[in-house]
Amino acid sequence: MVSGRPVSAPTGTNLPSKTISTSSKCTSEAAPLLDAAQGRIARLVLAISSFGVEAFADSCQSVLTHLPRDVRIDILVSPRAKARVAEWVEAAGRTTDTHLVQAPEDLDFSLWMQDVFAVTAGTPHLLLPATFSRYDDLAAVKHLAKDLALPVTEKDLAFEGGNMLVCGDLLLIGANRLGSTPPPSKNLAVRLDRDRQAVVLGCSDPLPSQQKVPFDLDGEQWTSIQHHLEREGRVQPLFHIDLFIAPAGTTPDGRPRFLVGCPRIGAKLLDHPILDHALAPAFDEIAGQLKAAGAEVIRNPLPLIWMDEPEKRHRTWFHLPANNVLVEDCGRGRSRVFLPCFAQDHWQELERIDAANAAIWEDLGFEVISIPDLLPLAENRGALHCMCKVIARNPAPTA
Amino acid sequence: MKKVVKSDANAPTELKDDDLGEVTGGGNPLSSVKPRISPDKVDGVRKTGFRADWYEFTK
Repeated sequence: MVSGRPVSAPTGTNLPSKTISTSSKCTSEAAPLLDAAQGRIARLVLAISSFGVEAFADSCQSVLTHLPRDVRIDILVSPRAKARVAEWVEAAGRTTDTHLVQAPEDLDFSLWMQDVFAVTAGTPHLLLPATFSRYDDLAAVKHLAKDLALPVTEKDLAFEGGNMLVCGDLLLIGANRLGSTPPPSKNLAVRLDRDRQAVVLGCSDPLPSQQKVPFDLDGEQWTSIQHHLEREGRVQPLFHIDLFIAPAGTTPDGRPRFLVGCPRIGAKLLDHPILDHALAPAFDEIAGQLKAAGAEVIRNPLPLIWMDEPEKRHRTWFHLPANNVLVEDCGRGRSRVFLPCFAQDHWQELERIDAANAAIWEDLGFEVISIPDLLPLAENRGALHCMCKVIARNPAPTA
Repeated sequence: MKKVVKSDANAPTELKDDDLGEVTGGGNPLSSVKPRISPDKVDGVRKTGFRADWYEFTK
């Protein structure tokens, strides 16, 4: 089932689906998916709930402040969050291009809009999976789409937006699913976008699931939580590929280029040992599959770090999602990357990681716009790409 | 020089302080306590923070 080799999509594939709401102009269901990198970002959506407005206040404000002013942003907000988010929007100086959509009081949704749907190129047409079990996220997207008059189609498919990357002629798709329904396959990719070559990424052997290991810290008995929230049988080092793979333009001979995170490089920059549960060989295997698919792969620092809860004596390990970027691939000299940055509070040494990744992007010809204060998002296994769902792009500007 | 942990990934083993990692100078970096920044809960609202909290989704 798992393979890094691309397959050609057959023509004439049926797309069982149901359009449930449309605006005056409905994009064809067969339209290609929106590219994850090519062109300037024109419009994106966010979701800030009653929980999110408290837990991620600094991170959300940083994103609103640092994204370009000419990007239209639609934000689904809980009633309890609306006033504060409106203040942030005003403080960021983006009142003319930002719209708040109030959600029902009883809707409990996450910050992670990336995962809940896919979107077509051109006029945005939202494609929803058949099921999506995380909180009330699916209902939240339906509410947002209805308010914005965006066409929506419910697909007879199970997918997660964060576990796919649409890049040029390729549709990368991770071999895992968070849910219990069948895992993704090449057929899924074909049914989502028949014109792109599907590359399914996953390791040949299952990786460890969540484990709790006792250890001694300064004479106290603590618990080390490794592979946090990862389920049995998974074959990806991280549950969504957008956490560790980033599209980074094309080579001079036209091949796609990707950054694939490397825990070894991250550990070396932080003067940390390379621990087994960093799963460095698994990242290497995925990188190898992309190379086998014809891509150029560049490795970048993506360390395994931890967060402590001293009152519980819990240490939870997680990989820093340094590749959870927003990319605007517009050709050399005009391309930009919005880079999540994580150095803050007790993790000031992450400046080394932020700087090293910025340097890699700059060497590739990208202007780097750093988005600081995103460590709280990383603690919850997301970052910039996870929270920002781009739904429209403009063509690359000409020189 | 302290040794790097080499455990069977599928068989949790008890770690000892000396096993936490190789020190390149100035103390073991893994012995530093790094308190979590984001709150685990917010009073009066359902926790919807973790992106992959399968254990929470299925409750």
